[in-house]
Amino acid sequence: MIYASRLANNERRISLLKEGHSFIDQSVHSIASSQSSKMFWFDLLKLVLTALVILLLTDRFINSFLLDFKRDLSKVALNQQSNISPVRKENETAVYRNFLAPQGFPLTTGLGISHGYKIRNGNFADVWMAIMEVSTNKLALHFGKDHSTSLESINGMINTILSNEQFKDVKDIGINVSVASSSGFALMVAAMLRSVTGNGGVPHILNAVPRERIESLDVLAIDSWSKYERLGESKDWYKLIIICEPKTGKNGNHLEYSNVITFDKLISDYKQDKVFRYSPPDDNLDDKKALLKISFQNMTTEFSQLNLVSSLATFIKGFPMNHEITGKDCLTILLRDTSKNSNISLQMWTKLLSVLLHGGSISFIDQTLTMRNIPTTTTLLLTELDSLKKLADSVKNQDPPISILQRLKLSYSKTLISEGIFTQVGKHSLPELDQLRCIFVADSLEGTEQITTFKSSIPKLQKEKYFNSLDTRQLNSLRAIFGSRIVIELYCPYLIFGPIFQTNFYDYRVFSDSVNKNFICFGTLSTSLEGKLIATLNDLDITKRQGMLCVRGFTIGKPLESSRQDAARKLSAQLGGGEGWMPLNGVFGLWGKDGCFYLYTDHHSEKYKKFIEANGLWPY
Amino acid sequence: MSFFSNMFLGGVRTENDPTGMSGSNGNNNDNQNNSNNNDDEPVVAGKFYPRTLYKFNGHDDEKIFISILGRVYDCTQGRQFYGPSGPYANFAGRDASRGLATNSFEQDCLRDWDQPMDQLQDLNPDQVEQLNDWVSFFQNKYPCIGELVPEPGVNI
Repeated sequence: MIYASRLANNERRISLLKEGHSFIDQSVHSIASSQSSKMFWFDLLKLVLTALVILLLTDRFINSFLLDFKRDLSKVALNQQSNISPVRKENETAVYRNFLAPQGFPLTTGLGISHGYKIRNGNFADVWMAIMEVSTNKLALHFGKDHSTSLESINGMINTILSNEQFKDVKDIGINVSVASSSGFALMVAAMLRSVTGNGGVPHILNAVPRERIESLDVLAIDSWSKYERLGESKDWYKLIIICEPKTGKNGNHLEYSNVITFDKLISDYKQDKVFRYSPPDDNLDDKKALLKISFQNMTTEFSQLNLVSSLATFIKGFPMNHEITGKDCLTILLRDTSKNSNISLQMWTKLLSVLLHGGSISFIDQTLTMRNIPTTTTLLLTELDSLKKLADSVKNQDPPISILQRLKLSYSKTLISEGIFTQVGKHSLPELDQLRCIFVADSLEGTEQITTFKSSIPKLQKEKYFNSLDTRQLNSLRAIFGSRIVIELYCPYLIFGPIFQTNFYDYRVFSDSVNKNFICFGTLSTSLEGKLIATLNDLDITKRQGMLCVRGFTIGKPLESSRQDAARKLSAQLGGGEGWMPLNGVFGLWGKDGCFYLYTDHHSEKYKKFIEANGLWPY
Repeated sequence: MSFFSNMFLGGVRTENDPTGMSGSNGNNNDNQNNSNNNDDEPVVAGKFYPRTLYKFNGHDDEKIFISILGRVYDCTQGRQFYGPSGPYANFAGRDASRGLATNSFEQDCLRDWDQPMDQLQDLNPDQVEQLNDWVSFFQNKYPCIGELVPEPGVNI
């Protein structure tokens, strides 16, 4: 009994103990779970903090070291792109030059051709002879997508034209034919060669068929019979009229006239010829010989051989190391409307000849612009602003539309390019963009008439003039989209051969909106020009490097009319201080601290707002 | 976080304002491209006093100006001749007329900036001729940037 009661007590104790244990277990468990929860948050916090610190350190490392090593051009170089004279005159800025043409050294002048121990600047015949020496009988000239020809064929045509008796004693040759055709190209080259080898006649690029007689014009080249029909009595002004369209039906009757010939007949017995025969002179006397003339609103400017060879040398030397022009390059030239747009048909010659000099090839495109028109072999592209916009739109509206992955790549590409590291990650996958490495965008000064007439009255500053030019954000997007470097060039139409300013090949900087809305960057002066800004009555502070642009150098053309020559001399003495300075009347800008030239723009103007309303923000 | 934030949020790096007109400095704070200080500003051509000319000796200022017969020439490009340690270093930042006329590099031929300017009245015809040769040499080689005049209260 006693044993039984003890047993019962023990069992009670055990059950109490068990209850106690379970209570302790529960307590311990609840304490443990609350502790593990805290640990979890603590660990998570530690993890986040560690990740954040690593991210910050990585970002710091990338910004401070990695990007500096990977940049195409160091920031120091981008911030000192000009050589600046140590002294300036009162009411003028210092004289600025491209960094490649130091103060005290000569500007780029000609090709520096070695002839024995003498160095010559060269002329167009030298250039053409060198082009023929490096040509390799390939189809180097493409006129549209359907017609290609070799340089040997063109040279054969040229030799035939030059040996034609009707060309022997004529003066200037008026050319109103697009160079985007084999006939126009051959005629233009033949006429330029005559400027050196002939009796002094030069090609005269015409925007339209002349309505008034030009005394020096003996030959007129036009592209169609319909234009010939409209010549009326002016047919008698010329010793020879060349029509670059085959004779058809009733048009053939006109060939009865002694002064009419078709281009096909002119070159009827031509053969391919690899050699251009020419004996170069020993001296530089050809420098001052005229190369060509160009007319704009009854004003004619003459460009010399020196203008051409200086411009050529500037362009060729402008390419950085490891990106030089090679025989593999194909330059595609987008011509908007060749009959009306003679500025690009003049300015393209520098690039065209440079590429041919290196054994490259040329494509002319003057059709409706989409990416599909661009040859897949294109490595260099010369275009005007409008054409580039059309191209970018055609990329944007491609079928199928851009994927989300592509958008991410584009965003990454924009960031990296803005850091100064060029990448093609965001490039759209189009075969036409495969080999493209540089786009040259030709922008022009506004107010050409004001500049070329050399009027002494200075217009007021109109900031909204350049509302349409590309700002650095747009350029950043375009670089990412095309996967190509972009060089902006600023031209002075009808007065200067080659660009006045161009941006650096490696300059991918993006400026803040406050800069983009007020200024457009055009880079540094060409190495064959130097420039300064002068104070005018406009509210521009010369001590802050603002004023009206004056340039001097070896690519500036000469006005032909004596009245314009007098006006140019007077303006130079009055505003530029003489000494060969040519004021570009109405071109107001400023030199940046980086040595680049900036033109004013105004993105708050009504003109700009209307433009955006019509076109949208461009590119996307 | 500039690089990562730009990369993930689709932004771009903006540079400092190179025009100095907008008052914006972009989103990076390195000031290395704003290194242009007053020393780098071009000197305005015009009148120089011996005192203001003196600092352009290639040492105190990188630029080298030399005066001959009252005209000041910018000889910065001839640093190997007129710069520190060059054979004509004594002439930098001073009126070098007497030294060139007498073909002497001695300090005696040079006046300090606080002394009256040398009137060169005691030069003989040969020395005057030699000086004129030097003037035409400088005119052809270096840009003339102003004239040297005595400073009231210092040189006269």
